[in-house]
Amino acid sequence: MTPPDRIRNFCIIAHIDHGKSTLADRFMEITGTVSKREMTEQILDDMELERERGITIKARAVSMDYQAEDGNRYLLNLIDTPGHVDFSYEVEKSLQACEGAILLVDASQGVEAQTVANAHLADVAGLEMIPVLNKVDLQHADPDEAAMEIENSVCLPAEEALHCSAKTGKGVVEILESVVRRIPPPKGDPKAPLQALIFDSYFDDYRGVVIYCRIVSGTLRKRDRIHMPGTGSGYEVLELGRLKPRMVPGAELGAGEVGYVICNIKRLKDVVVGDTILSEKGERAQPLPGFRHPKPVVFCGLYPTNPGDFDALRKSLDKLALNDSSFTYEPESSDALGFGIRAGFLGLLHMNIIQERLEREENLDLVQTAPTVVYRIRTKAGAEKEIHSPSELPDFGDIESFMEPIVKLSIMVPNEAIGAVMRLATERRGRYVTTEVIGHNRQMLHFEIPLAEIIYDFHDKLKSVTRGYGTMDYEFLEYRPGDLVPLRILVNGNEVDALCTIVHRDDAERRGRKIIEQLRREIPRHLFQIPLQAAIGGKIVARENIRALAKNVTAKCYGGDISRKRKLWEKQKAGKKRMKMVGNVEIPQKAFLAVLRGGED
Amino acid sequence: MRGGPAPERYDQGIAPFPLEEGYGNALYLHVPFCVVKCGYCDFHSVADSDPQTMREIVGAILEEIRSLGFRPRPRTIFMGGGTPTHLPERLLEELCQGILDLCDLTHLKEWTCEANPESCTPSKLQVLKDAGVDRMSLGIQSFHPSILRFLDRPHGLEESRKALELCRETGFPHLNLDLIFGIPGEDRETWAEDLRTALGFHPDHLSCYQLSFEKGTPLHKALHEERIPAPEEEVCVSQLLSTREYLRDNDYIPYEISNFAKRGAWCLHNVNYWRAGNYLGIGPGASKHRDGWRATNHKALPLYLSSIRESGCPEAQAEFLSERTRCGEALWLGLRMDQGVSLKELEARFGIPILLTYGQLIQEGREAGHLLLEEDTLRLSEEAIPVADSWLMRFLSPSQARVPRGT
Ligand SMILES: Nc1nc2c(ncn2[C@@H]2O[C@H](COP(=O)(O)OP(=O)(O)OP(=O)(O)O)[C@@H](O)[C@H]2O)c(=O)[nH]1
Ligand code: SF4
Ligand SMILES: [Mg+2]
Repeated sequence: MTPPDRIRNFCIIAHIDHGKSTLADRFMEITGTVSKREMTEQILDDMELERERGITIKARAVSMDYQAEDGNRYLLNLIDTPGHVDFSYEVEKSLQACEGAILLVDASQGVEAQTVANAHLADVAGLEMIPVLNKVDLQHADPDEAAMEIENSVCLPAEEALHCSAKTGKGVVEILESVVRRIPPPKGDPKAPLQALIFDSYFDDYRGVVIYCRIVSGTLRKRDRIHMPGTGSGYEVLELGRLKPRMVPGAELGAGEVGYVICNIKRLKDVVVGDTILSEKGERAQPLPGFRHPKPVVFCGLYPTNPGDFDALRKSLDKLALNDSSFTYEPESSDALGFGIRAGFLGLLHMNIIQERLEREENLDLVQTAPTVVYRIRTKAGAEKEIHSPSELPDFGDIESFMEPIVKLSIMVPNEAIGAVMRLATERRGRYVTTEVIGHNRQMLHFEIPLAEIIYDFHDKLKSVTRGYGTMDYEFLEYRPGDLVPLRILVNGNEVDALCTIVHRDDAERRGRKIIEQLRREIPRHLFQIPLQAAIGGKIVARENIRALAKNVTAKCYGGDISRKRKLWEKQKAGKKRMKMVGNVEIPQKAFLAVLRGGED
Repeated sequence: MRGGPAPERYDQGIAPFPLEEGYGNALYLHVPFCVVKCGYCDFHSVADSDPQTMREIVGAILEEIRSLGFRPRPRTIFMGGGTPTHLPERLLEELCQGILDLCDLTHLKEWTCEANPESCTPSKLQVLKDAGVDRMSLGIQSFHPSILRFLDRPHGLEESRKALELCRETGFPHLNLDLIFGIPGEDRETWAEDLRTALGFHPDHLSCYQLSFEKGTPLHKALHEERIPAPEEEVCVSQLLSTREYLRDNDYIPYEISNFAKRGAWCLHNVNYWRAGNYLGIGPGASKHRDGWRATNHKALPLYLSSIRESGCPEAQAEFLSERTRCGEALWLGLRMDQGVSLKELEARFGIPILLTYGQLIQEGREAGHLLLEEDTLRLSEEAIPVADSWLMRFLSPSQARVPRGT
């Protein structure tokens, strides 16, 4: 067992893409945790989606042995965190397992919105922060300016900032030295009663639930009986060990250490992230406070394209929930789509990631309905109600008033883009609050804005009006009354409940036209004409027709064409599996997606 | 709803061979050479081949027949391509002589050869005539020089006229012209003019195809890159329908979606395809079908050559079709013909109860006025022709044509 004063627990936090995972690669290389041969870029981003998108989605822990210049060997437990705003809950959880954090800033970009947001979280958690300027190998890197921005925005002295290149490895050893010197060792007593915080878990088909935990006090050994108060379950530890980053079994984990625990748990509901592991026998310690439960802000319906897959969808969600405790789900049904799930997410990217993980890891085909924020309504009868789905709305005439969630939005922009960003935020019903000067050429603008206005495509718009330089962060503020209406969509006279959205009244006509335009593009022509309509209550605000298919006939069909043509049609037929019948119209999955994606353009 | 006049059944007496019998009944030979590659062409053919390659391929084609293990007894022969007449005269002669030597032609009813105007020399036509070819199919495509240029055709108007006259003079009893409509920017009158000009040569058969933009062709690329406009759908539909009307008025029966013939002049070889019969394709990229086994030869010339030399097995891929799939294909292909399909015949061939299996689809088609069921015959209505595929493709997919409960 490593004595606590030879342990350092820290995480790397930063804005998206500032180089956290790459820096983690260098740490693992220098400490010999991963051999040169095994090394790949961003080795901790091992989920297929992470590699494809080049971003970190899940925080990942890794233990490293480090021979420091003071002659001692240290156990360094590192957590690499994601940078995207949707995953800041992952950062928040990681911070609770650490005593310190490396605040990484890309010296060619400077401080960004999530730099400030994450630094703030680390500050609240009481962590020692080491500012590090990365990518100094880039020609246009300006470490001095970046250091000054750090000082201005998060109050860490500019002269303390270290310089490094996670790409070339320059300055990386100095960071590890600084970690050893500046970050305090964990406090727990290995001889005290056991308390271990579960910060992550996932399901392995062969070994059951794999728990990732940080031992806060006491010592956990193989064969120990454990108790998890959150679910009341008890198990025997079959295997435990460190993450390097692969699981390396060991005999015990002592206070301050981070590792994994396997008890052959097959019942998914027996483990919840944030729960405490206590020992079943002997003196039992108090459970730890666990994590704040994040409140999902974006909801959508998930429907299996094949109705028979509903049970499989539920099971898959149970499995995924073990690995991501930040989304919620419950059954719902739709006239158009049948039985499905209403799920809540921390943001749009989070929603897309979960959908893709379900499709890939669980092999499900899903139709996803338009995302919505959580509204509150008051009915004429005086009742108040939370609305997670437009389908929960009472009759239009029964609604007295709508309330919508407002967020505090902060946007980091270069000076020359301030006008454009102001215009964008105002168009989206944003109210300007104040400006903070961060660097010579950069400012942080603060707004209050309806959440519904920024979840669709605000980020893309921001990137385009700032030529890629603008970054944003937001947090919930309060509910405020809004002039909102439900927008219904009718296809060939049949209402498609899955496409119904709640919109601002001034925006209804434009949104309706837009949705109809998208449907017109995505719904294939049928042998008959298909009217498309958008309506508020009984009033049609936009309409278009999909012309009847006039021509669809193969000119040449001889011996050699038969096989080819049949295979082509079979492929098209497979594509049709992703269609939903509404009345006698086939609506492709793509159409739902297009509507969901495109508030604007 | 216009059902059109009740179609004549032309399988009786005219295509007398039992479909399931003799694999070599319908013999197809693929000659994969052309003088240049047309802009819309996705057939298997190569331009600029040297005589040596052509000689090797002709040799391999004959070798493929030789190594069949039986002596084909074709009722129909179709030499297609490519452009068979692009072969040098000596090779063309060698090919024909090989067929005469290797096949038993006692039952032969039809021998077609495809040709392009630029390569129709009197002596080549004579070679074909002497061998026994009785049906010439000429790739005319258009009588408008600007359209020929648009299509990158290697011949002009004069060559087309000469070739047509030459075919007559050589004495081929049957003549087909291939024509193309639906050219971007082409108006209805331009096409009507082409049809009138074509009839002036008194062919007994016409194939009128709407131009299709196949992936990988220069025209497809041009369309994709918006260098040429897309043909107007409305114009194409009107061209398609007026072609049928005009040719019908001139005693050509629209016996298949793109094919028109004077009474008794249908292409027997092609009718066999649409009846989902057996056929034996020889040559690079050629397909063959025998009672549900379907295979396609290697396309690439070197691969085809080496496969013939080394194993005598030129098939690159093969599949076995279930009775269900075969029945679906027979419906799809058969419905392309104006005579439609005989449900009894299909039931006898594949053991599948048509009305039970496809009942819902057929019902839907009848309600839409696009499928006609008269006693034993199922066929497409005239209104269904422009959107035929929307119905036909559904016969292939069992899920689109659910079996009603209780069966
Ligand atoms: N030139 C240069 N590029 C770097 C350096 N560090 C990281 N990069 C590049 O920056 C990009 C982002 O690096 P990541 O390590 O994935 O960034 P991240 O902070 O983990 O990103 P998220 O986890 O998605 O927030 C990659 O293309 C890296 O190769 C550096 O020191 N110099
Ligand atoms: S002549 Fe026929 S086969 Fe030859 S390139 Fe032109 S279209 Fe293709
Ligand atoms: Mg990362």
